[in-house]
Amino acid sequence: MSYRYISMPVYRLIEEFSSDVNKIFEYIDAIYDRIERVENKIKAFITIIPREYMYNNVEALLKKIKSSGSAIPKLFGVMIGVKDNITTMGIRTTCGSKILENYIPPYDATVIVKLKNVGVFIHGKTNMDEFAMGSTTETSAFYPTRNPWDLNRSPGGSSGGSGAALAAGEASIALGSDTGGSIRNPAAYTMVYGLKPTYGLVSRFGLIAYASSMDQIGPMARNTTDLALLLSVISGNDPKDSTSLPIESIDYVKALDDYMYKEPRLRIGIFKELFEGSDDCVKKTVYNSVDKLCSYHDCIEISMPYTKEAVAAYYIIAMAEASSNLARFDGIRYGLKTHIDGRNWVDVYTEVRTKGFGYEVKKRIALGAYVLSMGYRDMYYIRALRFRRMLREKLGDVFNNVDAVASPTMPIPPPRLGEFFEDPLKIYLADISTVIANLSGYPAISIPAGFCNNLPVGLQLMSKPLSESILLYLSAQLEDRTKLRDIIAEV
Amino acid sequence: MKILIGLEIHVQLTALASKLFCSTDSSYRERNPNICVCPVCLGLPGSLPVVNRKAIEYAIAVAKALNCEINDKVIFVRKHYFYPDLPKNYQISQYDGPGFTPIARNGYIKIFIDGKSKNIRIRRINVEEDPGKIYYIGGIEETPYSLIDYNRSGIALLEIVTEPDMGSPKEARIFLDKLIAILEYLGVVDTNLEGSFRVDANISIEGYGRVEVKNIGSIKDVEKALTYEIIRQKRIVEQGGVISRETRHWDERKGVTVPLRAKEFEEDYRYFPDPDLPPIKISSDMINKVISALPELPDQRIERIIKQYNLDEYRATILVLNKWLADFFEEGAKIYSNYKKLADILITDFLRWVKEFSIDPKRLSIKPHTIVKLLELLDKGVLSIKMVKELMPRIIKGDVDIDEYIKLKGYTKIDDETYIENIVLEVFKENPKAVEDALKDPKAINFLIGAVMKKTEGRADPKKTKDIIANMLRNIKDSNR
Amino acid sequence: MSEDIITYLEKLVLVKFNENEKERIRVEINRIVDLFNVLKNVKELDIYEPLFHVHEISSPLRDDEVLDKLDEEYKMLKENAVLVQGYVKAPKTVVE
Repeated sequence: MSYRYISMPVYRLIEEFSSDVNKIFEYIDAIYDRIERVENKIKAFITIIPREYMYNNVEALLKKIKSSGSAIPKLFGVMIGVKDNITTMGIRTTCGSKILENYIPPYDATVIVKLKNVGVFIHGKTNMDEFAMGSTTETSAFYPTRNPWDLNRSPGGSSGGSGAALAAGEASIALGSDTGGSIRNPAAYTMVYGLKPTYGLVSRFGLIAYASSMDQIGPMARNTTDLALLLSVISGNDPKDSTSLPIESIDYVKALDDYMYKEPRLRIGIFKELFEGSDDCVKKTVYNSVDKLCSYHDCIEISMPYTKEAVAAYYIIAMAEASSNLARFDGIRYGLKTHIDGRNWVDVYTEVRTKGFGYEVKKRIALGAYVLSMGYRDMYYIRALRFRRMLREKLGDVFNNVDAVASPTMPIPPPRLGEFFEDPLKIYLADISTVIANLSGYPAISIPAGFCNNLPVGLQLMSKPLSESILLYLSAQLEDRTKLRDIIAEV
Repeated sequence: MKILIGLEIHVQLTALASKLFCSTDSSYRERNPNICVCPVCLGLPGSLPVVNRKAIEYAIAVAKALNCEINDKVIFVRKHYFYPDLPKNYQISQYDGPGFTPIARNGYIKIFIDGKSKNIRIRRINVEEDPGKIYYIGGIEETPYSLIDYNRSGIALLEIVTEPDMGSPKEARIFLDKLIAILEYLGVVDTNLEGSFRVDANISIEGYGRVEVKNIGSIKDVEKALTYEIIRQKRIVEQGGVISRETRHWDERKGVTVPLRAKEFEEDYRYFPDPDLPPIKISSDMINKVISALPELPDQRIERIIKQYNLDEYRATILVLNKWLADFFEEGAKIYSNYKKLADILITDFLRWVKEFSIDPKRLSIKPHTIVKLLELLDKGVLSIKMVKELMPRIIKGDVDIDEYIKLKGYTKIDDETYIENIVLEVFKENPKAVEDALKDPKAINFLIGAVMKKTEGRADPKKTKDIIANMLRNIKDSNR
Repeated sequence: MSEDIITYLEKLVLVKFNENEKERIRVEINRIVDLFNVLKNVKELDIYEPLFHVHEISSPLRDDEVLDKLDEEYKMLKENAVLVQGYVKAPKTVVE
């Protein structure tokens, strides 16, 4: 009976709860029952808040609200899965790493504060590639997450836990983070909707940094309206983040409704090189979904060279910034502890960092230092930043002629677990479609396109800065045609 | 041998209420450890810096006062190194190199040395954050582990770097005195606060390697440390040795510089612009706002005092470089017009005793009108200069009231001629031999004068006494004929 | 990438690779650097200035006010650091 809560869109949940606030407890039971049933097969979570705590928290807050006579917040009772690199006060935040295995943050990220203000509860921290460095959630220090659509395959990464939780019905909505595609990749691989906002639209205060100039927290959901709803809550200027754009949050649901009502005819660019570089089945599936959009809009082919170079530039910049951002992890103020007495700081730090970081993280930290070191900085780091300016200019030119650019989100279907162990380069190059948005700061969305041999495939749309409404509009239109929404995988 | 001295000074902007990148209380002294902290200054994962506007305004003010070129934008970089007092294991600072520029560069401070003026050039001014403080149980070697207090972490610092334009420890000292005066006039730092003003020095003998001397604790130590180091280097050179580039540590207790342990490899700080801090545009509006709010600076005040009070450069400079003293002087000058006399007493006895008693000028209880009163009494002849000098320390300490004292001791200058005559007669009667000597040898009159002084406790007017004694001796001579 | 460079980088970032990892990393780093080197072929890059921040906005400036209370209960550190009478315990700062 309460199974309907498992797949119910959030915008419907809040209608249910506003009619009868006690339905929240049925909803809590439904989700937790589902988690109990499927989680040991999926392993989407690193930390799950115990069911009793959830009951107590909701009850306590409800009592407080009623006694103060204030209105019940808009999304009260809705539960969210939060990627484990987003700081949650009092709730263990590990970044998928042993070095933070027992870190209990003393403050909330700004997005968490915003969610709490509208009555949302966090029921779990989702699994991820260690420090967001990966595309399959296999570099998590704890365990890999499995794709609910095929348990032998990866759900993508680095926000794989969030994607899998949505696909398996273990969460109604989720937060992910995207530095090189880490929201869009798992969204495509788990048949859900995921959006990387314009850089600076969502506050990074409290997001444990990987590559500061590209990181963004973004919404993941099983339908477009939920995506818009979540984006409305978390976006908007934050004075605690100096890279936060000076704009107030807008109501994306209303904006979406406006677009759906007016139905403007837009221009969509089909990104030639990214289609050409994709697997045949992926190509076909994504073309089919784009075709559906092209019946409403003008589609033209666009071409942009240097897609492989973009991957190179992305990894140079990301590794450089990661190397710097991860310097602070030494076990002293927080993190993995070791015996200190009588030992010097070089030895202690080296031991903590060697034990606490996994191989992929260590590798990226080392390479990041390499591209920033004296003698190599101009050749690699500075050069990558010049490329970045060139790319942004070329992209600007493209967007003079189109409103959105379409491509497959990923060039291949979800890989098998362990498939890329031997060849790191192959996995880096799989980011070929997603990194462009991160390098340039442009927003991008992954929309379910269809299945390839029963494996999820996603369509990526990119648009100009601060035009998320266009992405949501196109997503909603496609969603109406494909009906690929609110689906829970059979696990 | 030409000596080249350059200084690297770190100034805490103690006048700020909060830290450089966060809104945590910056008044960290005398507090329990680790309570002036927040996620940002502790470098907790996910924290982000936001720049304090006033820190930038203060930096611009200092840059202007030091005649620097101000950059049109401020770029912060990350300087990477691992150390327990550095929460992020990188310091947010600025860097002088192609593409990354400090907030200001190419300025100068004018100093006076040996009667001539000289410009000491400022290479650059940087804004950066202070690390935390490290404590040890026992000494740095014996301690089993370190104890870190992050209260100081994130405090705003200005780094001021000079060119190696100073040629002697004395010049360096004069330069620092002037710099401190400028900073005090600007009101950006209270240099009496422990750790608010730190100096590292670079010393070389022309043609030889540059030695960096760190850990100079106080301004007084600067001259000592530099003097020692120069002697040390000169000795090596005179014996035909070589001085290679190194970093040395000033040991205050032993009064020597010692070599710091050599590092295994040269530090590669891997500077790059902090992606969390887009460049800050410094508009001409912002600069003009700062300029219009600038107080009168030392050089301007010296000029004005010279003109307004007709004082010479030397006196004006000493007054101005001790800001509180110039303030004291100008207050007094409102009610007393012999400016030179006022300046003199202030820069000699007054200043000397205040320093001798280590009185914090902010807590001085004595007011300008008291000194003026002393001078007026001196002018009237009620007090002699000797008396004033004796009274000064007691007045400063606050344990004497002038009027009371005068009444009590009848401590007035005696210039009543009749009174003096009577004392002289007494002295003549008590010292017949001295009178005889004086009649024969005019120089022997001094003994008699001294005797009168003794009897009157120094209060008798010396000139009148001399005249009266001389007269009496003449009378005796005449009557003896 | 030579053994020397890997050892140098280990010292620079204070992480160590064990023997197995060293084997693996040498191969992987060479391939990754090959990827990085494709940027050398983009001739036109020199006319572009490096883009450090994607949106060219100015950093906001904060008023100089104290907004955080003193952390007298050590909330920021007590669950995650080892405190000795309020000080954070850290290793020695002398290298023997």
